Amino acid sequence: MAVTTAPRRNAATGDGRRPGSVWASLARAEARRVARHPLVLVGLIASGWLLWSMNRDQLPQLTGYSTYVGLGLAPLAGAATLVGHLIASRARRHDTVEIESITPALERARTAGRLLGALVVIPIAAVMVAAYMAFLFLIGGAGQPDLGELLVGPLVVGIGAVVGTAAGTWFPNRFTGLAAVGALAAVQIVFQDAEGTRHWLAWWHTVLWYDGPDLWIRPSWVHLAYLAGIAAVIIGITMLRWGLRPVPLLLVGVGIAAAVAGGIVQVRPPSEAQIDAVFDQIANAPNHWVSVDSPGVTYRIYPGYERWSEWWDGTVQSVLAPVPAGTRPNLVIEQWHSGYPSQLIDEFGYFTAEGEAIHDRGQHLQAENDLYSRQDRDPWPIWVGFYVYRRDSLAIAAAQRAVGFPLEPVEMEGREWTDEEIAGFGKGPTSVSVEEDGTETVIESDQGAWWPGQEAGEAAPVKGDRIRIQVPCDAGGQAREVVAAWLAARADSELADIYRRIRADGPGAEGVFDFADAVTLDSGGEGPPVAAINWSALGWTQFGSSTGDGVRPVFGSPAATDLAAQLLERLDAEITVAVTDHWVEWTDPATPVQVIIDAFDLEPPPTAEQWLERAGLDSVEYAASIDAYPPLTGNSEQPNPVCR
Amino acid sequence: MTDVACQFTDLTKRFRATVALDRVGAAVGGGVTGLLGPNGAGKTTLLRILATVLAPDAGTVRLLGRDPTRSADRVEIRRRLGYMPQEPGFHRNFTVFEFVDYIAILKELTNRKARHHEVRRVIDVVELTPNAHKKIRALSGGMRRRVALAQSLLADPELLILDEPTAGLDPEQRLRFRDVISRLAEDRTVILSSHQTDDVAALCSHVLVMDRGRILFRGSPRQIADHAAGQVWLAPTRDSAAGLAWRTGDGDYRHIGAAPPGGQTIPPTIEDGYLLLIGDPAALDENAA
Repeated sequence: MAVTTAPRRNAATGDGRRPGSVWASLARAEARRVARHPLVLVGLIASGWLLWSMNRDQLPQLTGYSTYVGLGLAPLAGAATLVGHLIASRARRHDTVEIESITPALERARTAGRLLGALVVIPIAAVMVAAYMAFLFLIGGAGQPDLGELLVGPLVVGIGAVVGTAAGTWFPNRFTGLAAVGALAAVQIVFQDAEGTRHWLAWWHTVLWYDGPDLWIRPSWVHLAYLAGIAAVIIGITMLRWGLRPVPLLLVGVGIAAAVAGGIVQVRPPSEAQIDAVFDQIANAPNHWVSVDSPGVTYRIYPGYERWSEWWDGTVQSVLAPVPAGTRPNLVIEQWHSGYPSQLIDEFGYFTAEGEAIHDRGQHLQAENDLYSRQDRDPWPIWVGFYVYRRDSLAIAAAQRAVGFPLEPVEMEGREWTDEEIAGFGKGPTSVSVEEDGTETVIESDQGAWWPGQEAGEAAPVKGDRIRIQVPCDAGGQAREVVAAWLAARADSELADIYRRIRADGPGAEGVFDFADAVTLDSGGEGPPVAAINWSALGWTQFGSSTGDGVRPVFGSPAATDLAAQLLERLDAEITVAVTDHWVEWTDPATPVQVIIDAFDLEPPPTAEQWLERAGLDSVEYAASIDAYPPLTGNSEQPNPVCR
Repeated sequence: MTDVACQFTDLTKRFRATVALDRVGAAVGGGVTGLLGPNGAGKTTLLRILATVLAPDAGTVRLLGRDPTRSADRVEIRRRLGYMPQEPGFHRNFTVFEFVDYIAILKELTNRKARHHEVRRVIDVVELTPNAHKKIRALSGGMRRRVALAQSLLADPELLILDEPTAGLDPEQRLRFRDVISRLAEDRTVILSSHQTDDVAALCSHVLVMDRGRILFRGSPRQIADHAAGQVWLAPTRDSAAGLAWRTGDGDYRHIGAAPPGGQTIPPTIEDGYLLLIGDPAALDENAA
C-alpha cells in the first residue's frame, strides 16, 4: 500500500482552500444532490401530471396562472420540503455529526450551504413553469401571462425547501419533515377560504369555477414580496439555530417587514378606478370585444384571446361541414367572463374586497343582464367562457343551432305571485334572519324597490299577475335531435366516446351530465337529482338553458344519444351524404325520429324502463322518486313547450 | 510540524456520575503514540477531547500549539487535524467518492479541481480506488473503516487521531492499516487507541496505558514489556499462585505473576506487561500520584 503525501498547504489560504466559501461549495454539492433526489423527481413528475391534467379540459390560458402554477407545483413544493428536511437532518440520521463537527466548517456555514443547496428547486420549478407556458402557447394559449403570478409557484416551492431545512435543523427527527409539509398545507387551506381579500394571503390563489383571471385585482409583485419576506424570516430563524448573529437577525427583521407590508398591501381593497375598470370589462363587454370572422361564424372575443377563435372554429366548422351550403346558420360566439351575472358579483367580491362597494356595483351589471336576456338578438349567440367551456359543449351548441333548435329559453307564465312577494315589492329585497329561539326578523335592504321589469319601467306586479319564467323547450322525439347529436359527436371524439358509453351502460353511469351522482335514487332530498332523473328517463331534452353557460348544455336525450352512437358506428361518408341529401326533411321539427331509424335501419332506442335498468335504477323506486320531486320546470304549471 | 503536537494537563471529564477522565496529562510528539486500555478506560473520551469533539470539564489542552477552547484557535486546529471516530457514521446513499468529497468541502477544500485531486489521493492511499464509485452501503465493514480513514487524511493533517482504527478488521486488513499508518507517521503525529497490543507493539513509539480514567503507564512498548520482566514463566502444570495462566500450543502453561522460586522465566511481551499493568491496583495508585 503506497502512501503519497500531498504537498502541505497553508492552513488558511493555501492551494485549494478558501475558508470563506465553504457554504458556497457545500451549496453546489447539496444542490446537485437535491436536483437528482428521487423525491424531487417524483415531485416533478407529479407536478407535470397535475399541470397537464388541470389544463386538460380547458382552453390553454396564459393569463394570471398563479393558481395552476401554484397548485400544479404543490407536489414539487412538498417534495422540496421533505428533501430540505432530509438534508438538514442527514448528519443526525446517519450519525456523521462527529466527523462533520471536527471540520473547520462551522455549523452556520454548513446550514447556510444546505439552505442554499435546497433552494435549487426554485430554478428547477422556474424551468418547469417556463416549459409549461411554452407548451400552453404552442397548443394555442391565449391571454397575457403575468410574470409576478407565474413566479408564485417557484417561490412557494422555495418556501417548501427552506421550511423543510428549518425543521430539519431545529428538530432533526424523522417526523418533522412531514409536519412541515402539513403546516404548509394548513396555511393554504386556512387562507384560501378566508373571507374577503384575506384569501390573497394563501400561498397561491385558488380559481373558482366561474371567474376569469382578467378580473383579479391583486398586485402580484406585492404577493411575491410577501412570499419572499416569509422565506427570509424562515431562513433567518434557521440560521439563528447557531446563535444570535447579525445577518440572521437582519434577515428576520427585513423578512417580517416585507411579509407584513406585502400582506397588508395585497389585502387592501382595490381602488375605485381599478374596480370600475374591471366592471367595465364585464358590463360593457361589447365595447371591449374584437371580432374574428370565419365562414358563417363571427367570434366576439376579449383582446388577447383571439387565438382561441382558431380552437373554437376547428370544432364549429367540423360540426357544420355536413350542413348543405345555403342552409348553414349564421353563428355568433361571444366570450363572457361568467356564466351568470349574479354569480359574477359574488365571485368578483371574493377576488377584490369585502363590503358593499363591490355588491353595489352589481347594478352596473344590468347591461350584461340585458345582453343575456334580450330576446331580439339575432342570431342568438353561443356563449363561451374563460375556463370551463369544453369543445364538446361548443360542438353541441353549434350542432343544435345548425339543426334549428333555439338556444334561448322560452318565456312562459307560471304561477301567480304570492301575497308575500307582492308585499315585498316596493320595499326592496328582504332577507329573514332566524334567531336561535326561532324568532324571525325580516331585514330590509336599502337598495330600494325592486320587481321584475323594474328597469324597463314596468309597473310592479299586482294580485293575479303570473310570474314570467324562462324554460327550456322539449325536443319531443324530433329527428333533428339525432342529427344534432351526430353532428356534435363526429366533430369531437371525446363526445363520441361518451355517447358510446351511454349506449352501452345507460346515462346514469356517465358523468358527463354533472348530475351523475344524483342519479342514484337514494341520494336524499337535498340534492338536485330531478334534472337527471327527468332527463334520463322521460327522454326529453332541454334546449336553451335558462341558467346560461355556467351549466353545461344538455348532451342530447338518451334516445337521440343512443341513435347517434349507432350512426357513429357506420361509415361516416355514408351518413354524411345521407344527412346532406335529407337535410331539409330531417331538420324539420315535424319529422319524427322514426324516420332516421328507418332510413338507417337502426335499433329502436331503449324504453324508459330499459334505460333505468342500464343505469342500475329500480323502476319502482324511480317512480317514487319522481313523485318526491317537483318537475324541473319549477314554478311553471304547464309542460315545457315543444321546440319549434 | 510542532515538536509537541499535543499536550494536556489534569484533564477531567465526567458523564453524570461516571468519571471518564480523572486528571490525566501527557505530552505527545511526533511518531505514533498508542493508547492502550480495556473498555471504559477513557481512551475514546481522551481522543474526542483531543479531536475537539468534546470539551474537558477541567484541565488544559494545547493542540498544535493552540488552545482549543478559543474559537479561532479551534478552527485553526481543525484545519490541521484528522480524526477517525471509533464508530464512524456514513451517508449510506453516497458513493465513497461523494462522501469523502463532501467531507473535503467541510475541510475547506473549496476549489473543485484541487479537491477532487485530493479526494482521489486519499482514496488511493486506503486502496479504495476500485470501489470509489460504489455506494457506501454496499461496502464491507473493513472497507467502511478505510473510508473513515480516508476522510481523516484529507488536507494532509499534521495531527491524526485514530480511535481503534483496526477494530473489526481481518488480519490482512490490519497489516495493511499498519502499513498505512506507519508511513503516515513519518512526517506527522499520530495518536491511536487500540485493544490490540500487537498493533501497538508494531506501530507505536510511545504508549499510554489507561484504565478507569487514569493513565497507568507512559513509555515505549519495550518498557511495557520490561514491566513484566521476571514475572512470566512456563510450567507443565497450572500454578494457582499465578495471576493469569493459559495453556500454550506446546502444551506448557504460560503464567504471569510473581514467579515461584526456580520457575522457568521467559522474556515477556508487551501483552504480558499490559496485563500486569491493568491487573495491578497499585499501578493505578502510583501513576495517579
